[in-house]
Amino acid sequence: MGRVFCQRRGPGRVYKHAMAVAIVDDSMRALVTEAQQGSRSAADQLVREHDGWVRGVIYGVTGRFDQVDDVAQQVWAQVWERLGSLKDPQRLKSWLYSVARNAAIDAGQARRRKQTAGLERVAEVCEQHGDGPVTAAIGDETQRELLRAVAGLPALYREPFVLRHLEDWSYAEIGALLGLPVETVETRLVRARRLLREALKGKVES
Amino acid sequence: MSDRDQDLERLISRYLDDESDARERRALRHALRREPRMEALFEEASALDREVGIAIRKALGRSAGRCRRVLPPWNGLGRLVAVGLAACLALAFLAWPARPPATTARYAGQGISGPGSWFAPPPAMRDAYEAAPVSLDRPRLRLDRADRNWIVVPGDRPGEYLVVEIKRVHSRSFVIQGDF
Repeated sequence: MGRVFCQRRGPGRVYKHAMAVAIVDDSMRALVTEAQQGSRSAADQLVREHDGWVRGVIYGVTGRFDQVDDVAQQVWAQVWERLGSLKDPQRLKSWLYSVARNAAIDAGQARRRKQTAGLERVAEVCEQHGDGPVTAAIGDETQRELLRAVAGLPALYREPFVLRHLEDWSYAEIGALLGLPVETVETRLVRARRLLREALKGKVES
Repeated sequence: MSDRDQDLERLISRYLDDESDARERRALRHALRREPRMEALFEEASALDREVGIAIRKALGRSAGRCRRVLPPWNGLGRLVAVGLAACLALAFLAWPARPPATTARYAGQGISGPGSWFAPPPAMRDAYEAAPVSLDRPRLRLDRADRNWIVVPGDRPGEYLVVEIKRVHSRSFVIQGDF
């Protein structure tokens, strides 16, 4: 992953950045090893360091921020159950990504299955139209409109877009996590922006 | 959308994501200058990007404070003015006649000369006694109901204090009622 990060830096910074990445990798490896051995503080630190982008992935996949808390809890529960099976601690990030992505997809499918039930469907519709408790907490009508537009994006585009805005990651970092070439990440972000502009045309005042 | 528009859209997206290099920024700058339509697109895209970013962060319980670059640095006359002003201030500061620092005046009477420059290290401190005006007013006695009071009185020499322990007979008053 360090090699990928270096691609976007100037040549003068490559060495220092590679050093920093190596140090981060070492500390992460140590942290994962400690967590695998049952250290509670190491586990806490892992959650603190990675919970933010894990939630970003969940939101990117589901497009529903009211599901993020629940799915994130499931993800971390699964992580603690299966952490021992992680052979290479350096692959923690991609491993976490796959766990989070699968949990988010499962949650989305489960939700769709439940939609046949009446009350669930009513709650869904209310939430989508901005009447639910979570959207009400957002407060601003403009922001609700923006979030509806983001939720309307295909997951393909929403995922890198959310990671970009939530974590401020570079194309290379997003690509490394999603397993995509940098050019694909770039194309998806361009399309996400175009779709958002089209979706919001005339709806939100400039 | 023409190929050229798509190229510009890609340049804008890369710029907003802080991924564009100097050549791309230059190309974008020229395109925005030439085509007001593209400038409008740029402003729309940057405003949308900022607002969506804030909305997403807020929705996921993050602070909305992360402000990313949304205005091109070349677009603001204010930026140019600010840089010029900063340069003028720096020049004025460097060209200002060296004035003795306040520390020089303070140590003038003690044979310590000031270095005469703002950037020189301050003179080494040495033990010196500086007579401070001391008020020799006697403090008011505290006449409360205590049997014993401690009173601190400034002495004749600065820094000298006298501690006076006062013992007095406990006194009390009461109303005498009677037929006189």
